[in-house]
Amino acid sequence: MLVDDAEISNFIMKKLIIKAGIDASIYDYTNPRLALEALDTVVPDLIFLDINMPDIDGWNFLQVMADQKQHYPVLMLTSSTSEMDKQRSLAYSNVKAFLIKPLLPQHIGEIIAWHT
Amino acid sequence: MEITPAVTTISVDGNLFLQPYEEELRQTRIPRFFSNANEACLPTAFNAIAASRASELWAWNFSNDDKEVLVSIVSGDVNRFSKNDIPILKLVCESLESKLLELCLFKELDEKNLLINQIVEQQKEIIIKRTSEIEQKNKTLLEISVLNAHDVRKPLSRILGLISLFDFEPTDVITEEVIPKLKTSSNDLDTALQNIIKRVTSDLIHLKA
Repeated sequence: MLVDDAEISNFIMKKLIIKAGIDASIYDYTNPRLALEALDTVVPDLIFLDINMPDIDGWNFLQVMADQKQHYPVLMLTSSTSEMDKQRSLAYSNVKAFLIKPLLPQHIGEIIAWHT
Repeated sequence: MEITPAVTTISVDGNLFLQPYEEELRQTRIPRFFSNANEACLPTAFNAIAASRASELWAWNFSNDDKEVLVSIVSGDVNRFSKNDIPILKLVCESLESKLLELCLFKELDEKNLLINQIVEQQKEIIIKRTSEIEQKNKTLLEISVLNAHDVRKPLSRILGLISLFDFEPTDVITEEVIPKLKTSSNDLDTALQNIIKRVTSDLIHLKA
């Protein structure tokens, strides 16, 4: 599952995942609220989550997941290089990594394989 | 001659508790002489001396600039005051004058110290205030720089991500999908930079105020 308010970011990630030969269904959302609703019916192997988004940001998203006891593994994927953001993210038990955009094509397969 | 210590209170600020003949001496500046010291209504401390002897009282006013020194001498009945005692009298006067000057200087020093302390306290307050302002400005500038960096990185990371697709995506995808998105992201970057320039300019003007 890809959750990023920038449609282009999701486009890039989809291309990278396909290029890495990952055989999986990719659900991408530019509206985090819809992504949260989808979690009622979709069981993601992995969620790539942006932090800075309007309405519901990455922190709210993580909190809603925690409140609803949804412990799906999350990889933060953000353009933020803030150490504070990293520490805050990793405080959530289901956040497995803090990744800074852009991801390199040669790394994407390894990252997904490692966390699924 | 017997020189008795002056008992008149010296007060810099005002009230001098002078004897009537001393008041007269201050006004007329004419030396006074009493063949019987008791006539001068001496202070209590002198009464015993004056009563036990056939004493004389001599009094002078030595004025100098803004200082005024009154000297009273009660003589004993054995050693009367004479011309030979004048140098000693002058020394006593000079000594009194020096003491008075010292007191005045001490008072002036206290006033200056008080003024200096007030200035130091004011300077401390100004330094604390200015330091606080500078700290606030530094904090604001740091926040601005962090926000700006993030605003730039968002579209920039997309541009870099799109460029990475050039290595493996077919030409038609690059032409039809990637390049239009590159244009969009480049425009986003330009907009972000323009916003930053506006915001920084506005913030700097605000900080200078």
